[in-house]
Amino acid sequence: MLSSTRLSHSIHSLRSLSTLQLVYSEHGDPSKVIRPSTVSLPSSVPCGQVRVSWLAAPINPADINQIQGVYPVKPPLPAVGGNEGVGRIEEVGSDVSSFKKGDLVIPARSGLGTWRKMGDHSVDHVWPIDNRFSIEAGATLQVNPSTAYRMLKDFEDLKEGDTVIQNGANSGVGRSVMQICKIRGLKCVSVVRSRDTGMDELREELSELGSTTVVTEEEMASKMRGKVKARLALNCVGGRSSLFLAGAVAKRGTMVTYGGMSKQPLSIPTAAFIFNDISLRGFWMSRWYDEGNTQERTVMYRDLADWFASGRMKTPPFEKIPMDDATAALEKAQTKFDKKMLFV
Amino acid sequence: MQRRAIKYSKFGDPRQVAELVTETISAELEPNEALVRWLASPINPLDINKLQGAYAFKPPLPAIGGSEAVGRVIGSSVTKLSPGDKVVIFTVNSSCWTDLSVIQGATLMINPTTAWIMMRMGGMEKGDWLIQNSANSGVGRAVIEIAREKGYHTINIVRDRPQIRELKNELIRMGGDIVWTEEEVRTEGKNFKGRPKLALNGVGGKSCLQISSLLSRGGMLVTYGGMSKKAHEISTSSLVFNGITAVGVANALWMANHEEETKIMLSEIQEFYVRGALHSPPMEEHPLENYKKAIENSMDGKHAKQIFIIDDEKSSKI
Ligand SMILES: NC(=O)c1ccc[n+]([C@@H]2O[C@H](COP(=O)([O-])OP(=O)(O)OC[C@H]3O[C@@H](n4cnc5c(N)ncnc54)[C@H](OP(=O)(O)O)[C@@H]3O)[C@@H](O)[C@H]2O)c1
Ligand SMILES: NC(=O)c1ccc[n+]([C@@H]2O[C@H](COP(=O)([O-])OP(=O)(O)OC[C@H]3O[C@@H](n4cnc5c(N)ncnc54)[C@H](OP(=O)(O)O)[C@@H]3O)[C@@H](O)[C@H]2O)c1
Repeated sequence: MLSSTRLSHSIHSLRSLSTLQLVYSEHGDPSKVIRPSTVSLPSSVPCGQVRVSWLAAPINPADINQIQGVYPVKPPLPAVGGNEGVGRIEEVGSDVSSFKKGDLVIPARSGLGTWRKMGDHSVDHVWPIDNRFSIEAGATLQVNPSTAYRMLKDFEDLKEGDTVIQNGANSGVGRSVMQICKIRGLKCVSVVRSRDTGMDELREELSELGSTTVVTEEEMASKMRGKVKARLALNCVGGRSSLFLAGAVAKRGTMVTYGGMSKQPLSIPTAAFIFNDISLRGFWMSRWYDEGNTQERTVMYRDLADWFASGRMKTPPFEKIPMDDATAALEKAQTKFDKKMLFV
Repeated sequence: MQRRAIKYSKFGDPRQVAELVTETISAELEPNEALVRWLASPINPLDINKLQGAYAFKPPLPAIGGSEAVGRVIGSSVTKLSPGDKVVIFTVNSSCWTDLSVIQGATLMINPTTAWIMMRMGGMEKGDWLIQNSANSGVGRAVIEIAREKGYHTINIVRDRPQIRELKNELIRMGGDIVWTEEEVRTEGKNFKGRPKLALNGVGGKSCLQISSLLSRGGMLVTYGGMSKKAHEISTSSLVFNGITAVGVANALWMANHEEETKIMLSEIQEFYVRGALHSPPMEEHPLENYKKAIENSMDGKHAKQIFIIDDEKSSKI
């Protein structure tokens, strides 16, 4: 839709602007189907739209799944990859008053296509954010910290001192979870995969970020059994990991699933359901945005802006890569999880 | 007075730890006590778990086996009970099931109540669909019959067997709309138009994955048992994208927390039985001294429910 509007405008314009974007025209292995493409933008911004210069955009697991065609949101093809990112308004359409040049924006919803240098977007497709956000924090605000924020707020009425447990704790979301836990005075048990090298460093790093305890999957299955009684468990792994996570949920507590990194279905013991009466729920950030929630969204971004500005929240480690190196970046994003890939 | 009882003094394989003993007890009543002669009592999966020590609530040992039964009051210091009243366990102070046969009374409590409780979950309304596995179990059959009374449609999953036709026909006669084997869910499930709001899971493992994947958006999975002894599988996308909720139910706990609703439930269930809308599942009857055989049968997974006929007064009415 967006690209066809742009095309028709460029035909009429005298002088057009060409810009790079990462496009896929079929579903498949991202490092094979994504290719760079140059398109032109009209010399002046159409009515009702803003021209955004995209400053940075991450590669998230959902972006990979979307290109593979296994994600429920499938933009019409050909499509520009990427669902989140931060941009600066360069110019606004003649009738636009809600944005001005220099404003920082993020996509209003997923599916926008953020892996591009510049784009014209309808005003309802972008959302203003506080100019205090750094490029890195802004580019990764909409998905991970927001997911962490909501999951810690919308399911259990957590009080200072309550315990939260999470697996996949070294992920972007996981790191946000532990930091928000610390800010809110919640205890956070973080479960990670064990590694041969750097395990001690990882324990130390995640403790510093806000985890009260850092344990490996193996420890969860052995010496930690029966030791944790969490009101809330956050699961992004599934499989065996979810079995022990569910076992660590207190009576009538909740386990929220938001991802399935192991690609295995969740596995829940009978006792957790019947004797501990736990509830399983799912969370999907995109749906929450689609449902509106505009006031809550403003409050959330304000809290997060405060926390990032005061240094109480930090972005995960990034590897910054120019968009021309897309293939290598996409490959890395699927095999190496120690750093998030960020197109700049 | 003398009584016979199936007791166990340690946890373990029920086939080994259960023994029939004869012992003497005092017939004198303390205030608020009643002396009951038990007439019949089934072996439920829960009883097997209790003997194995695998149940969450462990009784002090030695303990008498069993968890539900029908009996007749023969002495009472409780105002609401008089000798001659027929009672079921757990509800000694509220009900006497005078019109019921011993066998119906004996299986009144655990299974139909579990079915009833689960069907008030998930926002079910007349005309809605539900899906359940272990549809041939005591709970499953009660689900089919109560659903018919409430105007819900049911998709019923059973394990394949040589006489699958007969079983399908039977469950459909009872009121089931659709009966599929676990294999048929794979082929028929995807093409089926109606999406159930509620999935009832007594099996676990892949069967749980099957039924929860068919739920409508925002539907509810209720787990009440784990007959396959495998952990309950649920797909990530059911939870994240389809927005389902998964919960468990324990009927005793529910009843303890819902006193008023429990009364309504019990009178409704009793009314269903009396009217012939609800039936006990097929059962194999045994005298107490056959306990070894009965426990054996109940554990091999090939038999109908086993029930002890302790004192046969099937034809009597008061
Ligand atoms: N529902 C939503 O709205 C929502 C929002 C955001 C994210 N998510 C989901 O949340 C998950 C994490 O996203 P993210 O962006 O935070 O990820 P990320 O930063 O790329 O991190 C991925 C994490 O997954 C772990 N991991 C990878 N394969 C694994 C396996 N087989 N078993 C256990 N752990 C494994 C890695 O562990 P190591 O540290 O050991 O390498 C790493 O910590 C993804 O599934 C994503 O789709 C969902
Ligand atoms: N949470 C509660 O409050 C509550 C209350 C009542 C009962 N329960 C539980 O509910 C379950 C059923 O109890 P019930 O008294 O109705 O049982 P039941 O009448 O004795 O029937 C057992 C059923 O389990 C099926 N089954 C056995 N092994 C299986 C396997 N490996 N895979 C699939 N199905 C299998 C049998 O299927 P076939 O017909 O194919 O032989 C049969 O239909 C038990 O787990 C029990 O503990 C829970």
